[in-house]
Amino acid sequence: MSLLIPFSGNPPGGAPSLARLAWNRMAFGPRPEDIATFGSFDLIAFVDQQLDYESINDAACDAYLATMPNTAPDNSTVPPLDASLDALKSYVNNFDREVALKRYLWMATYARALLSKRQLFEVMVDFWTNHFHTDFPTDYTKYWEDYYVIRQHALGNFRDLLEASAKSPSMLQFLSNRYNDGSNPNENYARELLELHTVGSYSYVPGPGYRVQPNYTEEDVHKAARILSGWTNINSPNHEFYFNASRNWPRHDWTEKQLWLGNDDGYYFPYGGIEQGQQLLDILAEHPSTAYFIAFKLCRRFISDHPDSFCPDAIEDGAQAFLKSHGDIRQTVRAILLHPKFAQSWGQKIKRPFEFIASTMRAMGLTEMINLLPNQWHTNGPRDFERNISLLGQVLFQLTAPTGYPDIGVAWWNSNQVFGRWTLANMLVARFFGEQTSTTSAPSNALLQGVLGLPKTATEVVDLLIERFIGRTIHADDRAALISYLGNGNSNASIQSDSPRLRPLIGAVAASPYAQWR
Amino acid sequence: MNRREFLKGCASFAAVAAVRGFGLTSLVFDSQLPRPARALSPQSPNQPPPNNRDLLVLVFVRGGIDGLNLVVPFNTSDKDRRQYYNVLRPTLNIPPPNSSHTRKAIDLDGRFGLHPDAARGAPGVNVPNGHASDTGGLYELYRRGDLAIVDATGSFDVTGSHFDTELYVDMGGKSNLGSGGWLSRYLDAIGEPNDALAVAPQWNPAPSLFSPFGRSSLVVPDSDEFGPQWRTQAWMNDATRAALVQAQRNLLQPMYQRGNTFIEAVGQSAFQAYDELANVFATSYAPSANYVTSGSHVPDYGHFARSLQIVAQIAKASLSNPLRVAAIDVGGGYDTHDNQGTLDWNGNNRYPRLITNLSNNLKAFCDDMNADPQWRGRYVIIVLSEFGRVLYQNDSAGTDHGSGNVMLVIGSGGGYGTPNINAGIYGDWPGLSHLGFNDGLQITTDYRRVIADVLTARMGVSTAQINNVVFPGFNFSTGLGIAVPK
Repeated sequence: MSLLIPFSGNPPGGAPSLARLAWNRMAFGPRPEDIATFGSFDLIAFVDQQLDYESINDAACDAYLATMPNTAPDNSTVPPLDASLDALKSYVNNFDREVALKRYLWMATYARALLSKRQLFEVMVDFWTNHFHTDFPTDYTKYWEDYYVIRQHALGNFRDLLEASAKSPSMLQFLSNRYNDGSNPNENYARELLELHTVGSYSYVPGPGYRVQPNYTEEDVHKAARILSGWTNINSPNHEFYFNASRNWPRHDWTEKQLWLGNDDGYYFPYGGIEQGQQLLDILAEHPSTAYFIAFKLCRRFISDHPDSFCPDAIEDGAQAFLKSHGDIRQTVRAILLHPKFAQSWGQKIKRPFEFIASTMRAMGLTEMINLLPNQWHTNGPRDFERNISLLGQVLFQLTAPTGYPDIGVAWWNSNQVFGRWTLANMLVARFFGEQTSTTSAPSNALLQGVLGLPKTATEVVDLLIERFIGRTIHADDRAALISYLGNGNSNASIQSDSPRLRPLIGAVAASPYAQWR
Repeated sequence: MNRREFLKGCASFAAVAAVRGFGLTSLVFDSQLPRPARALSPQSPNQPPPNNRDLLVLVFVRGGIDGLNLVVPFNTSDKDRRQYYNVLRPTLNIPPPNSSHTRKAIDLDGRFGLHPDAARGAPGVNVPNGHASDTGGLYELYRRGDLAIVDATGSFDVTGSHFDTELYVDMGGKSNLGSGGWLSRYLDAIGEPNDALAVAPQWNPAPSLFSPFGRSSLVVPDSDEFGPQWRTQAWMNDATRAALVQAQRNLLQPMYQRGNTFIEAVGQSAFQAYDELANVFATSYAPSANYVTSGSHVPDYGHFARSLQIVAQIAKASLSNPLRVAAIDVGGGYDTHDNQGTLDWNGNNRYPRLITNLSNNLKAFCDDMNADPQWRGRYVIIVLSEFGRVLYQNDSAGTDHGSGNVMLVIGSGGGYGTPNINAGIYGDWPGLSHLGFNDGLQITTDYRRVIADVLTARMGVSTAQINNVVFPGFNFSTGLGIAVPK
């Protein structure tokens, strides 16, 4: 959107390699072992391999998820990530267990970002989670939705995803369609279906052609609400969707309808039941405005905060791929990622808190996620991490606005981010590499020793950290200052995990402005 | 034990709860933190904004508050009441003041009445679920001359979309999307330097403070967590923590001098703000009034109350770079599409809690600020929302997106020496028989006219600056007479 502040000039320091750029944008940053593959990087091969995610062996991540701690504070066992609505319903008998589900899903989501080799898939899960955002506190149905709606279709077909979302109990609750009665409709879902999920409101997609026109009228919203009346889960024992063909509230409005939706010939809906809604979803999924809107948002996710000015051709290519493939998400994403503008887009995106945390943990070479389930309140403990992550403002799955979290730099960079990310980097260092309570001594730590391959000289350590956390050259004075600090003036000083300046240095590199670019 | 450890030691704080808002809103921090006793500090003179301008506090109620049930048109005309309000809202109407109900509208001027939860603690008002912050709320502000209500206001750019309409309001008009938020343009108009202190006491910057010219607002979600920290479970002394953080700062601060992107610009101003405010936030704030933060009374985990306290804390600190503007987003579920609630505290108390949160905390903020004589008549609060709601209820006991709504302007009406606003009820009431956009209340007053009224009378902004800088494209000539010219 044009209101956003254009970044002036390029980020200080060198530009990253194409491999690094791809790993920053299509993944949650590289792990140390990923950096080792950069020499043979091929963009097309990388994109195609990542899109063909089922063929990527993810056994290690799956094994981690299978053994991840799942004991809730009340000693109950949190149901598995693919639990059915019935299983979830029988598990959740109080609010604390809903909280446990939420925390377990956070853990799993961070763990997948940290460990999964299907990185682009996980990025797309995050994308659709926000595109079809529902708020976790509604109830346990969000937990179900993550597995059976979002992950099921994240690289599938948009039309399938759209209907799965429309019928998702979490969405029915969050945007009130479960209450949508044909005689006096609740328009909440119908409006956001048009504005946020499909054709988009014109102000979101400035540009030529379809994109400058309003795509729907208020009248369309009201009629769409009538079409979707009776799509509900009221009185459904496990919250499952059903179409209410009965005369009981909330009943369906069966009458014929005509919508404009940017088409002066109009769209005609004959007298009917659930098929009216399915026809509407068909129309919306095939609507050119939807193609442009989805392509715009994908370009904003992968290429630039301002895709309408930076890469309008990539939006065009993505939209055409979407239209030609009838909503095939893989082909749409592929067209955008392989657009030449992608490779030229360094400096167009910054990390949001989720990407900052995940990429920092990946750069640290960690192989486990913090167990967020226990009610332990101590400093650097599970609740303290939860609190500090929430201070950064991007609590996963938790936002009352149906927009999902914004993916634009100005929303995520301010004084709170400058300091909060710094604090969080220090917390991660303390949590995984051991707490340091003195300026002159620090504990030995086998994990830290191992991930950095210590001992190394101060220069070697600084260069390794720059490579892992930043991935490009930084200003020579900054590098020299880091080396001088770490070696206490001696660039050849031998650094061990108990060197008292190592932990502050890692925190500073992770929190540095250089490391905030995506 | 440092202060943070002390807080942790007091423990028993409820789960960190998140985000109850719209747009870019969403405050995130725990409201139940026990507050340590205030450390004694020497009294210092306060510092209202320079050049004799009043502090401007913008409160944006995100989600579209149902203004019709906050300021109830119980006697605007017989037709309004009998043929429209009661009929269109069969289960969502607020009974009129002269009715026999225990809970009913509180009469303001014989025509409009306030929702009773906007009058909690006022004499004769029934108050279920009482709280120490029940000191009369908006009603008491109105009674003592500190509250102006403007009815049937809004943006003529209104659409049915929260996000578009919020954007247009934040940017000061649909035609101004490319030039940042109107609050930052206000600071531009009066020639404030780029580092003039503007605060968003929440996790995100308020869009009205977005600036294309390098202004950067201070974003403080939690004054207890201000600035970078080196935290350990094991004991360590504060000097050592500070030394380690300082060592990191020595490495990081020069990096923010290496470029001129947004990243560096924000970072530099963040360090400056940290140096100005670290000492202020090092002392826990002890307000001079009772805010309400408890979960059973408010729907936003106390974010709004905490935000207001952060503003009061900064305002009252003696800063060489005093606070010019504050922008707060309020959430908690104002988008009442279903089960809106009306008056009930035992059953569905959604709306009563939304109103209690707004009303009691605005009153507390005023009392808190007025406790210091130097701030009386030196601040103006403007409360607005993107749109009102449909005049009639839907079949799920809620209301969908409408158009016209109330705005509130809060200051001092003379009870404390020099007044800065004239209390009263303003705006041309269109009547309920003329449905506005989306079957909401008709808009008769552009919200920018209300803001311009305040800016010209109290902040030294000229009419030309309003029309050329703050609200380009808006043809402002005269205000409604709400703000008292200096």
